[in-house]
Amino acid sequence: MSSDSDRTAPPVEILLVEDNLGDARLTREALKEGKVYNNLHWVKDGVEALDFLYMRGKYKDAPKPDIILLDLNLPKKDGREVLQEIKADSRLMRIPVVVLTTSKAEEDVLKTYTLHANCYVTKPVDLEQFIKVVKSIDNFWLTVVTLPNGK
Amino acid sequence: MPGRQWDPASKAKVVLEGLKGRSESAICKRHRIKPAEYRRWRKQFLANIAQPLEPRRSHSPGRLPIGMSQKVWEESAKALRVAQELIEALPIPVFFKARDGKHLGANRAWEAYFGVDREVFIGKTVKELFDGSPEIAAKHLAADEDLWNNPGTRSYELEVPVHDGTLRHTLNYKATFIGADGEIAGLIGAIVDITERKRTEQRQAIEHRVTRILSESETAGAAMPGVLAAFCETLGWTCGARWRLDSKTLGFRCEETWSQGDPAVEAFLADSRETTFHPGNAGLIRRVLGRGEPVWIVDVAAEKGFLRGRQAARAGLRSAFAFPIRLGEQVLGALEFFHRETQPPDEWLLKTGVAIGLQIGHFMARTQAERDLRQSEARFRSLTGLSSDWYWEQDEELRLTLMSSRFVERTGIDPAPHMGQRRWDQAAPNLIEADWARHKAQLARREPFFDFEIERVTPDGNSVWLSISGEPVFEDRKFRGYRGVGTDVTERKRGQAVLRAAYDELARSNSELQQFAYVASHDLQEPLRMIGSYTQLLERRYGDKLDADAREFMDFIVDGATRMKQLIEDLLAYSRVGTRGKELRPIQAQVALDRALVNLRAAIESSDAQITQEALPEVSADDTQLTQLFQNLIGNAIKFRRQEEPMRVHVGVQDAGNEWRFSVSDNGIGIEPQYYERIFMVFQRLHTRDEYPGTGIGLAICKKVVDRHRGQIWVESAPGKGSTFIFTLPKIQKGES
Repeated sequence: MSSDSDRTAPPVEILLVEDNLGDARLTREALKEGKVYNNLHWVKDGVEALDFLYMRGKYKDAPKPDIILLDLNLPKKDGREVLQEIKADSRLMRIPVVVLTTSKAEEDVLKTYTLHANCYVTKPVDLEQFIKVVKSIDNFWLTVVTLPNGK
Repeated sequence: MPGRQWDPASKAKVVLEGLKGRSESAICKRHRIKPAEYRRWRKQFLANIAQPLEPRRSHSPGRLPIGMSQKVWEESAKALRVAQELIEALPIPVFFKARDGKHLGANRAWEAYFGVDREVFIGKTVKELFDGSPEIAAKHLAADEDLWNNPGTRSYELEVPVHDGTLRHTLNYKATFIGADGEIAGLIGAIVDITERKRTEQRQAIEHRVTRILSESETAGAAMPGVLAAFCETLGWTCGARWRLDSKTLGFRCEETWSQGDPAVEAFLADSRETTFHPGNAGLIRRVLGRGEPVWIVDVAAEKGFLRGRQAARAGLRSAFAFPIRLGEQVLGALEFFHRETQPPDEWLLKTGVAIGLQIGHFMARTQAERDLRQSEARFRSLTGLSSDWYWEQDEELRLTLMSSRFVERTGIDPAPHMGQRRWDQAAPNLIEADWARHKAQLARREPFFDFEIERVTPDGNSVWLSISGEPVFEDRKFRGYRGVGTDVTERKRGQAVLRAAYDELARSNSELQQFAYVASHDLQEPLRMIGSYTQLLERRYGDKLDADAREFMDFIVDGATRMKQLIEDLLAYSRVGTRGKELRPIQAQVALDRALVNLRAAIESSDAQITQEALPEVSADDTQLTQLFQNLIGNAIKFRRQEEPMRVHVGVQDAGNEWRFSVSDNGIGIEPQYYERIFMVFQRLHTRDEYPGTGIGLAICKKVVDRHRGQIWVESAPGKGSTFIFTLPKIQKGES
C-alpha cells in the first residue's frame, strides 16, 4: 500500500476530545508524522463531543467520526460520562474509542466502572513514545478498517 | 315450810348421789334436807347393801340389821334393788367390796370389760384375782389400805389386762361406805378406760416434743437424736435410728441413732451406721423404703431375710418397728425403733409414726428449701456486692419500687425522684416518642428486654448513659411487675463517640489521600508531559539549528521530566498497596512465585540467573501483592548481582510455629548492616542511578505489602557475598480456608 493510494482514499475522520491545548497540538503533530490521511476534529469538552456526535448546533454538518480519541478529565461532562453515552447508543457504540489516560492507575480506576473502551493509551511524557502511540492508533485503525463489519 | 315426804327409793337415790362422789353439803342443799338426816339415810342404806347384793325376796326378822324394823328393811331391800338396777344400767364397770377385801358384786359392764363372770369374782380378794400380776394387785391393795385408813374417795391410774388380753389404761375411782354400825363397811369402785386418752396424750407428747425439736433445729441431722429420744422415752422403747436417702448413691444410710446407753445396743447401732440399704422386699428398713409404709416385727430374730435382726437379737433386742419419712409420695428416709421385750403390733403406734414421718418429711423439705434460699440469697448478695451493676424492681403499674444503692454509687443520680415513677416519666434526651412506644409495647407484652439504653441528665448537667435489662415477674401466673439490672455505660458511650470521631477522621483522611494520589497521578503529570514532549518537539524540528550544548540541556530537561513521571508512578503504586489491596484469601504461594518469575522472564534470561526453590505452602494473602513481593525481591537480587559470579537466587520457606518464614537469598553484592533499616524506606537508595537504575520504591512497597499481611520483613546480608531477604506470613487459621 503506497502513500499515494492513501491520499486518494477518503480521509479518516478522527474526533479528538481533549481540553488541554498542549496535548491537542501534540496529537495533531504526531498524526502529521503518521501514515493515515485524516481529518482531525477537535472538541474541548464532553458536551461539545456529544454535540459533535449527534450533529447538534454548530456541528450539524459534522461527519460521523471513524475513531474517537477521548481524554478522561474534561470540563462540563467528563470522559467517563461521554463513554457511557456513546456505548449506550446503538448508532454510536460501534465507533472505536481510544481512551487517553494520564497514568496506569487511572486506567485501573476506569476499568472498575465496567465501561468498555476499545483501547486505553497512557499519554507518555516522551515525545518519541507519543508518536509511537499515535502510530499504534494508526495501526489499530488500519486493522479495524480491514474488518468486514468495521463500520 | 313443810318437809317433803321421802319414800325409801327416793332416799336411796339421794344416798347414791353421795356414793358417786357428790359432797354432803351439796346434796343437802339440793334436796333441802338436814345433814343429820342425810347421814341417817346413808347409814341405813349402807347397812343394808353391806349384805350380799343378791336381792332377796324375804328376810328373816332375826337377820334384820340392828335397829331396823321389818318395814325399813323391806324398804332398804327395795332401794338396793333400785340401786342395783341403776348400777347395771351404768355403762362403766362398777364393783363393790366389803371391808374384809372380798368383792361383793359388780355390774354387767364390769363383767364385759374384764371378761370375768361376777360369780367367779364375788367373794374373791384382789390378791386372789390378780394372782399372776403381783404389781397390779399391790397397787390395788395399797389404794384400798389407804382408803381403810382415811375413808373418803380415791382415784388412781393403772394399766391392767382386759378381756381380750390387751393392756388398758384405767382410771380407778374408789369410795368407802359406812355400815349401819357407823363403821366403814366397804368400798364401791368404778373403772374408767382412759386408754384412748392416754394414747392421745402420748401421741400429743411425742408430737409436741418432735415439733419443738424440729422448730429448734436447723437441720434434720441435728433434730434426729431428739426425735428418736422422744419416741423411746415416751413409749419405753430401747433404741432408735434414722435412715436417710443419699441422693448421690440412691442408697439409704443410717445417719443418727439414740439409745439408753447399753454397750451391746450401742455396738449394734454402730454396725448399722456402717450399712447402706437399697429398697427391697425383706428386712425392716428395706421394706419400709420399698413400700413407703410402716412395718412391725414382733420378733427380730425370727424374721425371715432380716439379717440385721440377728444382730439386734444378740444385742438383747426383741421387737422392732419402723416407718417412712415421706414428702408426699417420695420416701426420704425412715425411723426405726427396737424394744427389749416382745411387743404385739400396735396399729396406733404405727399411725403415730406415719404422722410424725410426714412431719419430719415436711421439715426436711423446708430446711432444704431454706438452705437453698439462703444459698441463693448469699449468691445474690455476692453478685450485687461484687457487680458494678445495680438491681431494680417495678410494680404491676411499672412504677419503680426498689433501686439498689449501687445506682447512686455508679451514676451519682439520686434515685429518690425516680421512685414510684415510670421509666418514661423522667427525661431521656436520647429517646424519642417512637422509641418509648416500642419499649412500652414490649413491656405490655410482658417480654424481657435487654440493653435498653437511656440517657439521663444529672442536676449539674452531665449526661449519664444507663443500659437497662429486665424481665417480667409472675406470681401464681399473675403479673407482679418487672425486675432487672442496670449498668452505667457512660464511659463506653464516650469511648464509642471518640472512636467514631477518630474513625470518621481516619476515613476522611484516607479518602483525601486517595484523592491526592489521583490528583498527583493525573494533574502533576500533565505539565510534565508538556515539558518533556515540547522540549523533544523543539529538538526534533529545530535540532539542527541548535548547538550541542543546547541539545544536551534539552536532554536533561526530558530526562528530568521522565524521572519525575516515574517517581510519581512509583509513589502512586506505593500508596495503592494500602488503598487498593484485595481481601486476603488462601492461595498457593507457588502460584504467586510462578507469576513473578513470568514477569521477570526477560531479566532472568538476560542475567542468566539460576533460580532454585523449596516447596511453598498455602498462605492467606492478596495474590497480586504477593506476586509483586516476590517480583520485587527477586528483581532486586538480579539487579544487584555480582558480575564476576554466576547469578543464583534461592526461594526458601521455614515453619516457624504460627507463621511461615519465607526467604529470598542471592549471591549478589550484599548490603552493609547500617543500611538494613534504611533500604525499606521510600525513595531511599544506596547507589546512584548510573550504577543501578530505579527510584528506591521497591523495598518500601515490599515492606508495605508484608505489613498489610501482618508479617515482618528484614534483611540478613554479608557485603560482597550476598543478601537474604526474609519475610513472614501468618499461617492460615482453622476454618479460614
